[in-house]
Amino acid sequence: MFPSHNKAQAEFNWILILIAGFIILSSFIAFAIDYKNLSDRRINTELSLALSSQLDSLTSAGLTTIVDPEGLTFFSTRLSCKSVILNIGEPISIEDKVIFSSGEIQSDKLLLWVDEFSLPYRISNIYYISSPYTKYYVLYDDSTQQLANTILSYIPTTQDRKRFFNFQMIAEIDPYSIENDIKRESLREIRIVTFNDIDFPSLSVKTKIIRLSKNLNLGDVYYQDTNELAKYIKKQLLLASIFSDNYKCNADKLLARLNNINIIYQDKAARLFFKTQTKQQCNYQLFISAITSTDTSDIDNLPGLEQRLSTHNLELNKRGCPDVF
Amino acid sequence: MSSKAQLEINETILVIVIFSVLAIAGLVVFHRYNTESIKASILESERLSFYDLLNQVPNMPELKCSSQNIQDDCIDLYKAFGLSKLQLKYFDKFGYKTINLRFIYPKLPDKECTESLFQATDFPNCNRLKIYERIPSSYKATEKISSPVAIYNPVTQDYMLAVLELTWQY
Repeated sequence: MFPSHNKAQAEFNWILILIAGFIILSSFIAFAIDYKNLSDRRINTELSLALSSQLDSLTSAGLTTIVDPEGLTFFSTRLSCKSVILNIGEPISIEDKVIFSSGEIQSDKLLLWVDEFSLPYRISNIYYISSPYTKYYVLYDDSTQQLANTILSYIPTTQDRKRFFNFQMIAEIDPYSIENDIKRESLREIRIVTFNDIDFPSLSVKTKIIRLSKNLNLGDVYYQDTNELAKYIKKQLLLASIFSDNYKCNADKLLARLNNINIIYQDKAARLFFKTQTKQQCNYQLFISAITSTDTSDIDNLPGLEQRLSTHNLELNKRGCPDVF
Repeated sequence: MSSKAQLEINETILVIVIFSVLAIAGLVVFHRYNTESIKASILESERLSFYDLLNQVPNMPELKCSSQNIQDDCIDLYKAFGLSKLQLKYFDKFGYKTINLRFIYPKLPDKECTESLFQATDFPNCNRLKIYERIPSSYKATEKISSPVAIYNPVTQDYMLAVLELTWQY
């Protein structure tokens, strides 16, 4: 009776020891996993915040900078129209900033460029974000070589006169040669800019084909992979359409800001008109009607509006009236 | 099984249960501490963005003064009136903040600038202009910062000295 009783108790003790051991081990593992996740989330949130504040500090048009976070090798940056997320960090709001970039960038550093968009008055700074591992091929033929050259001339250069972004002109798409570039430069994304219809090449990395109109100041951009069509105006939005996976949303954000600023100038012109009623030569009605009669949501109308506003503003100044902008 | 053995088993089970509860409680506290710490980082960043607004607001194209498209370091009084009418459209930019201009020099009557005061012939005849105001329904703290700015009146072509006041409730 006693030996079997002792045996049962010994077995039961071992079971309890196993359960206790399992609980203790599970607690340590859970603690370690939680600690790692939270510290990663914290680092990535802080990096997203640092990126956002770096964008805030880039206020002058034409500035370029490289974001190279310490302690991070390859990281993922996901940019939507509303927020930026680094790896598994918290989404950080980008507020009203207009940022054109790929939807997700895998890189150890980010390339940032800020430019100013005016129409005719200053509307907003716009930011372009890319990485050294994203390559832009501008495909040209005899009839479009000048256009391709012009696009490349828009790209900022570094102090040693190299292009800040990885752009290259090519006369034809040679998948073998591009695959070599992918291996040699450790590329993660290819974006092909073309002025004609081309076949979608089969490449080993994410590939986007951006077909532009032959008018660089005002035209259509067609994304072959998503079958999406949009419009661009001026070099800033032309480049934006090349850099961005989320072009339409950000362009709409820019147009919304343009609309707000138009309302402010329209209001200012009306106030100036009220305050200068005694001066017959100061006719602000032309300025006001140029804004009110234009549908600014349609990019096609914007060059005409820009021209009319500039003319009216200059005319007011010549007549000794307070100018609007 | 003897009652002594039964007691030992019960003790062991109790120890395991207490240990498990403590381990889970520790994990929850640790998780909460870290999550709060992340929220504190975000709040700190929002605070820095708020301070940065002092530099951003006078440079916004919605407010900055210019002549023949050449910008100057001042706020256009007439554009400030225009922006004050578009407050709803700037919530994405400013969030729950208040932006005021308080005119310091020359000395003006202690009144809030309104449309009716603007239409008077002696305008500017007021010393405060509310550019933006959005206050949350409930908040725990308020921060206020200010900076001197030059205000340009495009009709009289005069400059005034003002204080740009920013308030943040959170």
